Amino acid sequence: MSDPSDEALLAAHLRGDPHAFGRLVARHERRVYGLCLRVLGNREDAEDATQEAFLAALRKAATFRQAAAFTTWLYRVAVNAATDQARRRGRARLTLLDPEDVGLAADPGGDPGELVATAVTVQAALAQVPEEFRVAVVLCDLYRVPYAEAAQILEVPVGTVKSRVFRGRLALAERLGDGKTGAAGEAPTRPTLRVVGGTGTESLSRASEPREPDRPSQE
Amino acid sequence: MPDHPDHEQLAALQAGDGDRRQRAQVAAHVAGCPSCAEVVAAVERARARLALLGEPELPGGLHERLAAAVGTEAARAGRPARRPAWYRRPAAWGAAAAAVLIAALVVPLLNQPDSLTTAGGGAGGGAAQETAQGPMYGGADTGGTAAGRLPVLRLDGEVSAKRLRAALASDPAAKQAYRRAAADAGTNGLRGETTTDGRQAAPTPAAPSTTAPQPCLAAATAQAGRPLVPAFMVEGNYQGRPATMLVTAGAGDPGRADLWVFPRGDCSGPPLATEWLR
Repeated sequence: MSDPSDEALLAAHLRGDPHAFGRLVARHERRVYGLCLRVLGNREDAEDATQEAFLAALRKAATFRQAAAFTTWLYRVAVNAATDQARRRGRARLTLLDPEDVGLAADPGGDPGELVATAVTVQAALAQVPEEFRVAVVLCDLYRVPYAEAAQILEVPVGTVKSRVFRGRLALAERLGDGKTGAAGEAPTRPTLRVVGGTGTESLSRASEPREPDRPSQE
Repeated sequence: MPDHPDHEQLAALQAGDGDRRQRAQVAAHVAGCPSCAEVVAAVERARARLALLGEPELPGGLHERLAAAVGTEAARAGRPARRPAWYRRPAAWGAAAAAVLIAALVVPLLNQPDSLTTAGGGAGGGAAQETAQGPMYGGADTGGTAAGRLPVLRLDGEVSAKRLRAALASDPAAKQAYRRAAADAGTNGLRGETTTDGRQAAPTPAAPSTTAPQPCLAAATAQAGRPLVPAFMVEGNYQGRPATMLVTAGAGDPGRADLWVFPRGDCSGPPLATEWLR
């Protein structure tokens, strides 16, 4: 017996099946929470944003179009919920992630304690990457969303997604320092790297501020 | 290549896509340019670090919290299973229901004298009237007549759900406007076609600009997926941006109030945000 597809469940929900939406929540809650956690950097905000995301999905269910995959649509709703949450909390709640919430890759190999410490550092550094780039990195590098799908989620051209991912990684590299990671809780911010572009040299932090006009995809 | 490649070119090199010849050129440049090579290496290191992060566990209790929140919201919106058959077909009611509701509910409502011009400290009564008559809800303004206008609540500074809840609870004008809408929602409810005496629907197609909030209401109704009854408009900033907002009562659910947020003066698209007020 195969499970109904996401799209079939949503259709069932819209037809009045009282359990269909709950099944969609159960199916995707961990991914949505993880996405929100990586974007927001702390558990409390991520939980709030996850709830907001599913409530928004429920309210907007009727606007879902079959042309897109359900997950693409859901991730867009989730990204919006996370960025809204970030805006709401302002700078008031930039708490670091507890080590037990960090979420390690399945089998990274090596000393677990050290790995958790490193993962906490990576998450802390990620939280300092400008939001626009951070979201792209989270989608493409952590969630392995293909560039084309990330472009649909973020509603920008594919080339823009690639550029944001690249800049996000670069900003992350800067925040991690140019080599070894620090101890847990330490957020290295040495601006050692310079970004070299076609127009000359500009500092990383400045490079992210003025929004570049979206460039078309190189494909 | 005389110039350093830009981010997109380096990104394409790393992703292994884009024009092959161009990629080869970029690769050749990077091979002979320590600063570009350093950028590429740093990006690679960052990507390797990211691989340490896996999918976090769902925190304990979150599943239950989500189930409860979704259940409450679904109940509040009216369970789809209990809706009449026509209601389940979005195509059938989308435009039609909005039009019927506007004709039956908005116009009579709007023909009543506006009492709500200002709130939130009482600043700018005259300005509020100006706001109400501005051409912002679509079409040219007819200028002057009170017909076709929803009351406008003008709030200085940031508008939030909390602030509007407070206004609904304590601001006399807001309360009155909401009560009026809730009464309409209660009496007409989902059956917008029944008009009682003295509630003669105006000839709607003739005067789109006099049913000014129609685009906002239609957009909110489409988003909600259920009929709404407009109570009043709100002018103010929402999350730092100038916004035009609509507060509605739910048809068939008269105790409910929702906020629909649009860019200032532009209800042509779906709402930017919606908040449950009560």
